[in-house]
Amino acid sequence: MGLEQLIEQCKKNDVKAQGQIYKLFASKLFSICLKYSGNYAEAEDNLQDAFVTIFNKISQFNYTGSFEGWMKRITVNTALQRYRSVGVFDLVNEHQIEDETVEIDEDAVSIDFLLKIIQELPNRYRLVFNLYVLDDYSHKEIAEMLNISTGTSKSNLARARLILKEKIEYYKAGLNSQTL
Amino acid sequence: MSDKKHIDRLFQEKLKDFEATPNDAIWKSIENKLHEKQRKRRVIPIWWQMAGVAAVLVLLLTLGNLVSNNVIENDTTKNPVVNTGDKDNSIIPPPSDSNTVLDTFQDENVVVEETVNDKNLNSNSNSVSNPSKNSIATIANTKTNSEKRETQNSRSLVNKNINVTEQTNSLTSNTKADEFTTSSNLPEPDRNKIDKAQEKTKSDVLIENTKNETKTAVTNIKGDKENFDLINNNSDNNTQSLEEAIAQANTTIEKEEGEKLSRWNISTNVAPVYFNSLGNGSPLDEKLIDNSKKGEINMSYGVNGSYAINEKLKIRAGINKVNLGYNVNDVSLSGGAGVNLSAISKNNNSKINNTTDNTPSSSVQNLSFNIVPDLLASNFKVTVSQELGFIELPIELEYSILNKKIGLNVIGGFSTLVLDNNKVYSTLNENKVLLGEAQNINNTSYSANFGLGLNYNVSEKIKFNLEPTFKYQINTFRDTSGDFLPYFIGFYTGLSYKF
Repeated sequence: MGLEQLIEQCKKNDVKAQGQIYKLFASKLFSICLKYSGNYAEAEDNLQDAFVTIFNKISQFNYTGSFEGWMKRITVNTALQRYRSVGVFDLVNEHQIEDETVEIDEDAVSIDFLLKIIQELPNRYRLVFNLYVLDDYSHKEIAEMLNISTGTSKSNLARARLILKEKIEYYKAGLNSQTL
Repeated sequence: MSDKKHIDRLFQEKLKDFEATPNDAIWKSIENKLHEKQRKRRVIPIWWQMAGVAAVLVLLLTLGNLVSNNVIENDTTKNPVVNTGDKDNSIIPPPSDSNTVLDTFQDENVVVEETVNDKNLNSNSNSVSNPSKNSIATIANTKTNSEKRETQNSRSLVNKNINVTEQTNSLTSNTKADEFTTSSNLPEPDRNKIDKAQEKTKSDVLIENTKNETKTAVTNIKGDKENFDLINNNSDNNTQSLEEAIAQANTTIEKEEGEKLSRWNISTNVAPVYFNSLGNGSPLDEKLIDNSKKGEINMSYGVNGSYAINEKLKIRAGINKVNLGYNVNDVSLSGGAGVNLSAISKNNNSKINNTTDNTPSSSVQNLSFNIVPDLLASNFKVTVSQELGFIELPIELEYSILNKKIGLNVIGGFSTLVLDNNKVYSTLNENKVLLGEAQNINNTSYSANFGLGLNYNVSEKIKFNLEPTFKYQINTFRDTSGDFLPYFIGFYTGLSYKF
């Protein structure tokens, strides 16, 4: 059965088709949830909410744009919804924002570690970092989505980078001390 | 082996193809949530089934009523419209001696009987014609239903056609669409507008294309111009819902919760109701046909609950108490124009009145005769007023035309009316005297309702309603003299509460 047929079946509320759509896309969407959520349990909740929304709104999907893109947007929005009301963070001065480079053996850091330190970021830092770095949104768009100013978005991103960099360096130092 | 890397690139490269398989339990709970929803959705057909069952019951009751009424009427043969004479006859033993009083009484009754019998014939023919009418109506209903279904089917067919053609067309334009949807997933307002505009123009092109292609398809299906309009509407809707989908992506969860929560509605209503007849006849006596009649303004009050089938359509049911009344003016008592009063001679009235005063237990006599001396003492013209009380059980559909701060909707449906008050009074010089009960009112009758609803949102939960409603009564009176087509108009006001 093609994807299109599956979608049509889902529009008729067919449970089997829904199950198949879930099987096809769950792991992709779950990775988004893991990146945007504070921990694993929250990611699971977000995935669940996202799929419920997807199947409830599937009749509105009209094959303009890819189905996967549509589902991803809903998933991101589900996560944003959860953290939209996060409080205001203090601003970082422009001069503090600099090119954040880290010296690291790429193989030394695992995906799990990177995911872990992303999840450990304060909610809005994590959202901004994800949207800007991993999903290519502009600061203007992020500001609109999170209901903050572009300046705040930029400073949040800088803070997120700083924290991530420190954690990676700390981790690296730990590794080095172990190997020594 | 370590090289300097921008932190962004590190994350981008590492997480580019990252996927994670969620726990199986998640699908279970998603499935449960969706199932729960489906169960809720099935409520609608159950409502319709119930409505169907109710309609069948109503039909059977009507038929049963008509049949049993006819039997009773034929058996008793004497059945004056107002029970004044009839009940007395049964109580007073048949005259054995030359009781002139009762003789005249009976003679006159015979006249009434005859007219009543004639009326019975009429009502018989009515009862024959009624069911057939009903069945015709139901046939017509089923016809329109099936027609609707047909159009719906053709609609969905057309829809599918559009989808197919859109897809083929969108293959060319999809790349473009992809670009902007992914780059501007949730853009700021001005960009949004531009995107929408783009989309619109794009979809316009699509519509143009689909028009050409679907034209042939449509003519195949029905060849109607209406269908063509439907397509246009549908494709408009499609583009709209697409825009909505993007706009709603922001607020999907909020909205969803909103929809979930606000399907049920309960409201109270109070209304002044004005009762009158479209025709000229009288349900009381044929002698009263030409008398002037004036509807009375009474009150109706009740509660009803409604269930929103979708954003536009609500089905509602409730229970109301309705009081109705009207006056027949200038009923002359001389020459026997009164309501069966002609059957009562002047002499014995005073006697009977006296006896009833002494023996209040004989309430039937009381009902029928205590009025007479006052009335017949002179040649005054009295006002005969009929009071009716019903328990009304409406089932109505409400279609909303406007749903803003101020809402506008049209209401249509029917009510079952169960008789719970039935009295006829005569009024002379502000002395109101009970004449008796009208016996030609059916215990259950119906009304067809049409109304216009205005409402004002006091808050998110609470609405103020004003619904001028016209209710045309069906089958309320068994045999009326002349055209007595009763209706009532109510200005229903009330508050409704969403939950």
